[in-house]
Amino acid sequence: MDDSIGDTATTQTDTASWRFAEPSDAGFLYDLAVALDPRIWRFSKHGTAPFRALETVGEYEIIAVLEQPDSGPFGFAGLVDLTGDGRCAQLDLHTAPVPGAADAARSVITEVLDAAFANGQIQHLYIERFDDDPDLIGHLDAFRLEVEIPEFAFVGGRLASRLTYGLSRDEYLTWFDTR
Amino acid sequence: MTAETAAVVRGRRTLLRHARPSDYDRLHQIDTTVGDRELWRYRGHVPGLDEYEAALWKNTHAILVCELLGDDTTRRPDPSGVGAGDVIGYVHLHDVDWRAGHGFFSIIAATEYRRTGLMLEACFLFGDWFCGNTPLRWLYAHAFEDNLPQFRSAIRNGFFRHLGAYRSRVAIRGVPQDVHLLGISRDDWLTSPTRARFHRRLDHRRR
Repeated sequence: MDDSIGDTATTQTDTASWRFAEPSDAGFLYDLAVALDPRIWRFSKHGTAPFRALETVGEYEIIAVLEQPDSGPFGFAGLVDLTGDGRCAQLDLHTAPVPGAADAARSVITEVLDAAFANGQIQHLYIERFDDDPDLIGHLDAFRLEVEIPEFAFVGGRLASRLTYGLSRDEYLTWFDTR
Repeated sequence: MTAETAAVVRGRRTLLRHARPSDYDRLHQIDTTVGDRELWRYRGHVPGLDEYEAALWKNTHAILVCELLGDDTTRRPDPSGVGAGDVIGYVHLHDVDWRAGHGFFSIIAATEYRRTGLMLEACFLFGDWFCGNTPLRWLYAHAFEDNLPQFRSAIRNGFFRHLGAYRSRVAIRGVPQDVHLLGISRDDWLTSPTRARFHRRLDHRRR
């Protein structure tokens, strides 16, 4: 594969693009966490008070804001929970609860993954979601379901399961070559 | 205080009680001899005794020590050195999420008491304790790939559900290892045939 892929700070597809978050995006991230509460569990488990939410934003190593040319930011992808040796990380991936946002995210997720794995250290990437969250990665046919925690939390009036998907670097490279 | 009055839950061969400061030396000794896998919570380095208490209680809701009752001949490697009141391990309830109704726990057994069945009894007692003393719906435990066989009987007995494995989640001495997630549901445990059998045997013993 071309090692330079993902080195660019922004990528644009027909419908959506991503860019690194800036301090001025904190408001968007906070609004998104509140709008989705409790679906962005990292925020919600501590409550969504603004001060605490800002601390949670600070836990991310990198945040990519997903946006569309006309309507602006509609979601984010945040790299977090890097292990001490940097081998494993989680990618939090969420979109605003508005029509078209999930489809727009699906159109740009490939570029986001390329950027994440462009960091040569990461050997394994995890993505978590509730069972009734939009599936933003299933169409890639790349990730494997690794853990399913039943009845993890009360979400949307029911006990939702928590799903963890994983993708190793080797699997990513194979997928990259065949896609 | 006698063992009986200190007990939180009592089994046939062991009891669980809350940890006391006088236990820290023993818990530290257990933690420093059990091996790399269990040291995950300390990120591979058990702090010295002077910093141990704070590290032990970080993100912790409860620590229940498992104490041996009466004479027991299951101790290894020296069955003759057995004494009632030995702390043979502990159960550690941590990272509790009250909003979601779940938490994590770890079972740490002193190396000389492994494969004796004593900590399995402690698991069952802990299941009763968490159902009777917390509102939690689920508890989870991590198990490393090469440590999973120690949990097989608890999975077979219906105490744990195997919820999956985070592949290559940790590196032990540079070698990636899967980390398995095991879960206990309150509803599963309270209606479990294993629990019913366990209590029948306890009742029989008490009569």
